[in-house]
Amino acid sequence: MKASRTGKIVALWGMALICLFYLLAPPGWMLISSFSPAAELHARPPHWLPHQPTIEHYETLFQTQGANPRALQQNPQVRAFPRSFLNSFIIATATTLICVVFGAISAYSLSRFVKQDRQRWILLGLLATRMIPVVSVLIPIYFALQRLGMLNTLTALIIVYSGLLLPFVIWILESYYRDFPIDLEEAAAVDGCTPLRTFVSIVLPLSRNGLFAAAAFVFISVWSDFIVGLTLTSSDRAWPISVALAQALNPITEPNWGLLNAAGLVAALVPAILAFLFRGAVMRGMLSGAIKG
Amino acid sequence: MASSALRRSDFLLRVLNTPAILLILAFSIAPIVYVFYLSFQDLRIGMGASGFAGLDNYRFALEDASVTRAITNTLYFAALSVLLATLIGLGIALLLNSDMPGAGWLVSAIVLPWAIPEIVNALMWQWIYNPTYGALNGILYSFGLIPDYRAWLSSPVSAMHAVIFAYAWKLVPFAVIILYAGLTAIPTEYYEAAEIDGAGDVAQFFHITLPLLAAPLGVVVLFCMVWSMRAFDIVYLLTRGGPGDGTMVLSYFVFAKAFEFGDVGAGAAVACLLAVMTFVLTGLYMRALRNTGGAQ
Repeated sequence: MKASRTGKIVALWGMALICLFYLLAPPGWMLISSFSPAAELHARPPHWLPHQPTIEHYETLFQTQGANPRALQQNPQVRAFPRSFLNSFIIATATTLICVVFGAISAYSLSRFVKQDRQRWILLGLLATRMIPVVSVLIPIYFALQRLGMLNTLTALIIVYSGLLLPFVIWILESYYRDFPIDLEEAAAVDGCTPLRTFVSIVLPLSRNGLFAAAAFVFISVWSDFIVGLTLTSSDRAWPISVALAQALNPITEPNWGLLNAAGLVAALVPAILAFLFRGAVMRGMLSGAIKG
Repeated sequence: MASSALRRSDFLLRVLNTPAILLILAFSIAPIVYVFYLSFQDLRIGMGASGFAGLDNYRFALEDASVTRAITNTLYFAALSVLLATLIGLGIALLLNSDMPGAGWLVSAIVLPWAIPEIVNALMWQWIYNPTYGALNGILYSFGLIPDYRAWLSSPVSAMHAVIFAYAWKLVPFAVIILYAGLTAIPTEYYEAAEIDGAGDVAQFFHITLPLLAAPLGVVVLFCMVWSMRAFDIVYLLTRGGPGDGTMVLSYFVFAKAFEFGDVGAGAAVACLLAVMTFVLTGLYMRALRNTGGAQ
């Protein structure tokens, strides 16, 4: 009896470790590859740990002093990388600001000043828009922006992402405000505060945590998006980082893999740090079934 | 809504609602209406004249072999990704729940794949599957499991499974978090009682854990299903729907049809079909949720 129990535990742990290997080995290999010289990656099998680790790929990526001019010449798309990093940063920051500011106002208005049956319909409608696959709505959006001459601009990406993400932001902030203690607002109203004044000076400061979590979600979603950026941009003038990465992965010639892994890691760093800082909110969000996996 | 003073908004607050309403109307609601309209139009980029096409695009969407293939590919892709992610997620959740040391630290590590952009995930697996330098080839070759390096993405069947294996990776964190929460909600008394009655580990798993995990499992399966039915980035970067139409899924089909071949009407019709399929699944989910009385 005892022996079979030990056997069972060993088998379970073995399976669990295989699961963990599947989950953690790929990003681990990416990290190692980004510090490995090309020759060691091209060995058969590759060196699982580099004998001579190098930061050359990162220097080439940011085109600093130690950059490898040959690698840069052979992977011209990488030149677009610093610019697209900046593009993504601008787009994600602006979208986050728009979504959180106007999302909070609308979520608050919805939770306080809309009749209950109407409120339920609006929330259901907001949820329904999130169920529509993005590729379906991109066709009309593309043609509208083409007519307005706004394709390949950062402004267009910012307003499109805002429109696509606002339903989600309102949806999560509304549930946040619904659980918000209403006594303070009533007291403020009795003291003669207008609803806007109450919202700005009492509700907003007290809902900091919810707002930061919503901001992190929006920032991560925009930063991680690929299909919207791919459809609505055509040059490094507006490429977000995801599109620049895909462009660098040229299917015709074998890319410089150390360099690409470094680029991928840098692209993943920003959302990874945000998710780590807001891991509590991320998990709560997953549990409420609101966020995309 | 207790106080009458709180019942009414003021003018300025109402005005401040307009940006959100306009943005949602313009980019979330109007496009849905317009893509439905387009699906009845004969609109091809560069062909000049266009007009009403009646149900032609829908006839194409329901009868053309390429669309049928994309539908079966999508369903196969979604079903297998969900199965894989759920099984692995359940394994890790059980591990976390077994009082192991460092579980808290592990949960943070598990959120990591969730935060990695899908395009980076695709790049990562493209590198792992690389036919000449890839890590998958390297591992299997050094263990003597394959005689020579292979091009995993160059035959339709192996490409499909390689893409599924890569995509499921991104779904695992969601499965772990939901199932782990479900596991911690099961009262330990149940297991103690079963222990006294002499039920073994396996019997306990199938008679206590699984039935009480039904609702969280349902959440995982349906949400992951909805997401994997719209998977795009991974297919775009790993295979572009190929080889042949081996990994052609609906969302990539819509993109290719409308933006690469310029057949906007047909692309719109397939897009509507994809939206309807997603809605049917969501409806099933809502019904299941109502019947079980909440997710957790």
